[in-house]
Amino acid sequence: MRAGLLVIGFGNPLRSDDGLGWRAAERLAETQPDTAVVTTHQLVPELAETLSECERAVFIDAADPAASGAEPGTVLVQDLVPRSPEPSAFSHHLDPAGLLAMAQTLYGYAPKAQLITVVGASFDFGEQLSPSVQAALEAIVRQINADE
Amino acid sequence: MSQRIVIDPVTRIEGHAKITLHLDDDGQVADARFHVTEFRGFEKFCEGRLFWEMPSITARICGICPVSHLMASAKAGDTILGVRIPTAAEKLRRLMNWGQIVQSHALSFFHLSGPDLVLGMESDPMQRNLAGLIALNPEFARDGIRLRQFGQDVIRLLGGKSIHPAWCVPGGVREPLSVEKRDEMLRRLPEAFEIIERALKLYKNEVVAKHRREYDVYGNFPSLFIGLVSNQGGLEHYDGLLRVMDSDGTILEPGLAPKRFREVIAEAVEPWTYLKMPYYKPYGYEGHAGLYRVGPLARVNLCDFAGTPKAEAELRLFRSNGRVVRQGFAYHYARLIEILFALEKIEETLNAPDVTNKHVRSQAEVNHLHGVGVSEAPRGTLFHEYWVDEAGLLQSVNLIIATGQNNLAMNRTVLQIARAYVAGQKLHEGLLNRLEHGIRLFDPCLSCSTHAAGQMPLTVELHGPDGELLDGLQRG
Repeated sequence: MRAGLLVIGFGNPLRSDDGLGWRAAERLAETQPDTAVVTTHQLVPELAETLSECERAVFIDAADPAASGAEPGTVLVQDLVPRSPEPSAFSHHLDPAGLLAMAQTLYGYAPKAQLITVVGASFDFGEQLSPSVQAALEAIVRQINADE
Repeated sequence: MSQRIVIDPVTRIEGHAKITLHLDDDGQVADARFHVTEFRGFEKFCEGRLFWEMPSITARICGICPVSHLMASAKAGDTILGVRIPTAAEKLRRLMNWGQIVQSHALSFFHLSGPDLVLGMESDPMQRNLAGLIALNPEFARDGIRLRQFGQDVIRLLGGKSIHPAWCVPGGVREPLSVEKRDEMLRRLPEAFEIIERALKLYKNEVVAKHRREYDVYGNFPSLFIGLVSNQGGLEHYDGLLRVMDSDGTILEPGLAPKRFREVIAEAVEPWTYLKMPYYKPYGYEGHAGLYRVGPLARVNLCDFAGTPKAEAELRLFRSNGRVVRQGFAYHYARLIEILFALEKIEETLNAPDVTNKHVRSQAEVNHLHGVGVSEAPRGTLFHEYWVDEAGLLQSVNLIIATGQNNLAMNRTVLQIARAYVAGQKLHEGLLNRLEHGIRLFDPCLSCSTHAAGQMPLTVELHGPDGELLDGLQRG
């Protein structure tokens, strides 16, 4: 039998807002003890197997404001479908859709999954989140708790 | 007119890099340089911190091999305290270090180099990646995942989490090993043995046969080898003595106490890269006479014996053509032998009666103002050297990283591959991948060696003798 919700928070917790995924995952682990939580600097191949063992997965990451074109603190939610990674960009750095594709191909099952990104304000050295990103974290945790 | 080729960035390695190829007037490759173009400065910003914090701080240098920094840093701390850590603590540190060897080598062989080895160096680049590997040989891809997972689980069960565990501290470790966790690791071992035996079979029966020319060309040159051996001369990853040997098998330094490493290693810098150029001091930097290699190939060459039955049998096969293997392609084989060795040592150690002993930390205050910690990271010998004041505040920090020590050898390997495969003034993707594979043999961790932040891509540039850019390729 598969586990319920798996939360994967990724990023660098020593790079200010890039630690959003970690902080959110840690909060969810406190508030929902039944939720499986993974915190990691980068997505790695073995997570494909972990994904194949859950009903639903949520990836949480911080986004670069320049790349997203949105204000810091903006929450973006995307439903994911398994997708083989683009070969040219493919190194050991996996993306969530690529991991889902690996889960599907190698283990015959990929869970329903969402990617939640929050646009960051600062990626300098530091362990604190910016106020707008901290507020977004609270909203994400409330939403995921409400969905469960 | 001479020319230059640049590859930027190298993919499937940790970090950011650029390769430049310089052609001479006849269009032949005259020189090749592997540049590292980012810098983070960990050594500087550690000054003023307490040495107690260093295992946790330096582990953040890298998300792939944090355990190696934990080991070297905690060992430097042990020498500042002047303590001998409890027997059980040493066993547990060794277990974690072997877990690290298994997971890191598995990533390198199965997932970073696997696409080249299974699909071919110049196979369709649209397929030559992890997705293509999965499509062609899903069992191989799954094996890589399971083996890496085993290594990560050993680290997690010991340290509480698989990345950046704050468990290893000056004086020992924070938590003993419970019987339940020991039994969990033992339960997982048989599968890990099955996987590594399949991988060894594939390497010996298929990979080498498919890559005869690469085996002869990639990193095939005489060099020195440096690394730790056990006090008895066996294969070693945690402690022991520093040994230096040349590729004829002559032992130049049989066993130096690691704290005396400065007698054999010095560092040069070049203006075109942030990666330092360590060299064997007695031979000097001039003409790269002091070039040496570290890591799996060095360790497997340096030891007199493996010390475990299965790894010993493989070591004999590895040496079937001579005492020393100088082909860089054999880094792959050496990596697999080390995984096998690590699994055997994990099994042996978990079955030792005192591995669950509760006494795992020696307590002391600052007794020495200088400390050196040395361990074998997956990529090679790692040195942490600290100077502290009487309160334990760091006055100076020096880290000598495995990848940096392979810097001269990586440059030589790239040059050798370029000379064998570059023809004309145009670059093509297959060539780029061959040059990249030459670097991947060393499994470099540029995050560690330059302490750079973030993901780094690679460029290759081809330049004429007057510096004119003739062609370039980029990915990442």
